[in-house]
Amino acid sequence: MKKKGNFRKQIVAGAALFIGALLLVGLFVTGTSKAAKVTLSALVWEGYTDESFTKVFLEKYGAEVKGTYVGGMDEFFAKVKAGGAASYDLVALSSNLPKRMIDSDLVQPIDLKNVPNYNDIFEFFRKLDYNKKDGQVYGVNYTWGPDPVTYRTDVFTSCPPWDIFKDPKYKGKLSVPGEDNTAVFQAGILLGTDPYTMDKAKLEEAKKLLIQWRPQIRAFWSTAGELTNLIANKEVVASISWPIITLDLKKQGIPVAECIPDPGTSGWIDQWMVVKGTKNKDMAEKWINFAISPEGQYAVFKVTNYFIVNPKAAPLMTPDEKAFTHIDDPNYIVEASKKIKWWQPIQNEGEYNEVRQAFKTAK
Amino acid sequence: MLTAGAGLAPALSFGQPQGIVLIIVPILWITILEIFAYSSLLIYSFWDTEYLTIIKEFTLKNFVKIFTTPLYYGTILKTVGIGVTVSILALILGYPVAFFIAYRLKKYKNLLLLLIIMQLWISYLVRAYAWKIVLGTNGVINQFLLFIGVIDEPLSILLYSKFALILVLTMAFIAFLIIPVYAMLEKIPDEFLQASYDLGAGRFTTFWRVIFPLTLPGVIAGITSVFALSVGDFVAALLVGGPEGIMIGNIVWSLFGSAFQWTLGAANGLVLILLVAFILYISEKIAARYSGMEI
Repeated sequence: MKKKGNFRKQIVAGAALFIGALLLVGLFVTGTSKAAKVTLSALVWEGYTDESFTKVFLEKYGAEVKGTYVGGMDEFFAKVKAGGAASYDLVALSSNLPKRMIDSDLVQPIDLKNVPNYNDIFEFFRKLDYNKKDGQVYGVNYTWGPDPVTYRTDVFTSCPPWDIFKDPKYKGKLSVPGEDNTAVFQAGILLGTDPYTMDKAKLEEAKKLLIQWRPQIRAFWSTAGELTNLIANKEVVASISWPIITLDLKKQGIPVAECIPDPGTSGWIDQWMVVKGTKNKDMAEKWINFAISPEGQYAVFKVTNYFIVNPKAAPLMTPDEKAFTHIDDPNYIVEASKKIKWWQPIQNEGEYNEVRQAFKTAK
Repeated sequence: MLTAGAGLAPALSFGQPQGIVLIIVPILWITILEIFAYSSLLIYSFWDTEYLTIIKEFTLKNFVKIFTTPLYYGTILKTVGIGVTVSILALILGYPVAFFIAYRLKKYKNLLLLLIIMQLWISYLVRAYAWKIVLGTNGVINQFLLFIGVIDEPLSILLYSKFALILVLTMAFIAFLIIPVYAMLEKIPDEFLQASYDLGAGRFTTFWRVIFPLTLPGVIAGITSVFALSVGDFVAALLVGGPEGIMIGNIVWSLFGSAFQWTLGAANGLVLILLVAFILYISEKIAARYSGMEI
């Protein structure tokens, strides 16, 4: 009896295995027939692979672009370093990281013959050198913007000064990003020093200033969606933020505005880079060309409200949008650079990180 | 029950092909997920990082840094403190639930057990988000308290605080305590309780001298799970912890990020693992002595 029972169990187990195997094969077959089309995997900031324009790219070039949004600047380097070309074909990251990506041999030069739209972007960006090496271009600029202060207009009637972060009146009412060093940079700017080359002594000063900020911080935010919720739910009345957050809040009908309080703020210039070893280099370059085309630029502006780099997008814009982006004025970015300190690579990132963590964990 | 057990026994012998398959899977599992992972953690923690390179030379630098920088040792201690608090709370809140299900319920026993297990089917992330809705400035609790006039303005202590962190962790992991305690309670024969009453013990004495010691293995198992799970957590801290609720997991996470301090991150992880192992070892020793049995 026992034996018979065992036998039956084995038959059932065998059948189950067989069906399982069939299912796997089935999945594999349908999977590969789909994979016959090229799929580009991209690791990007929120909004950079929005369906509204990846759809257009798919129709035009037959390649799907699948984006993974990062939760903070910290993730770019760690994820590409760990996953490489097996995980991602493309990255779209900010001005502090290209040098590190190039130095670590994680990205490859871009063949500008495949990116003819490159010649249309503002000269300012083509002249930048941090994303080039040995005369070769590794990063193609895409968008730029400040880290402004987004504030609720039912609490502040005009642009609040940076001093609110020290003001006990706003205890537990403010926020700053917690997963990157923006707050440390801002402390450096307020101390009147270059925020990206602070040494130990300067960082100590920055830490002291940030610890004064600490009681006012309700929560540290990590994704745009999170800060949007914090402000929408009135958990927070003002925060260092990104333009996409102000835009999302306005779309929800929340009374907000953004500004750059004196003496200025940090800011970023983002770019696309091609991960070293990708099998889809040609298609990746086609995507980059599309991303900086007038159409691609206007599309990303609509999603993020970030400033864009290709003035040829101007005819697609409404007069309001043109005025907002200053798209007709090649000098605007030069002027903005006086008030915005662009994110730079940092040599002693570990020390910066420690200041940030000390700020976050201070009592 | 017995026949099923007998049916399994021959399959476990090495002579048969199923036996080999059965043994290979756990061996691979342990090698890849345990031995490989932990030994690389161990090795990295004794190396050093400079800008973008990991210097593969033995150094104690990371450990010196951890034990001299309040940021690291302070946060590790705070994390352990949170883990202990969560475990105690889970015991205080979870034990009565298990007791109630085991002794006071007949008809709805299985339903209630199912409900407790069912919450584990829902992603922990979703449950943490749900707490944000409950605890937020415009959340359910604040709205209710405002409505009945107990408070004039929303309480901010409810969310983005240590309170929120401890609450969410307790509720997230309490099932890991209820289930083993319940299993122990179920196993206690009614005759034991009868005997206790016959010998003149009251309800309280019966509980304290008979029931509780017999459930101690379940309590230890439950506390161990809750403690280990909450000490290693960083998601709740990120979602509801706010500035007060930053745990060592969050710091390790950022050390592995753009700071590229993998070696320091590994050392922090190792210190935490050793500390947790030590605490669990001590607590089990104490419990074993207290209950007079080996666990």
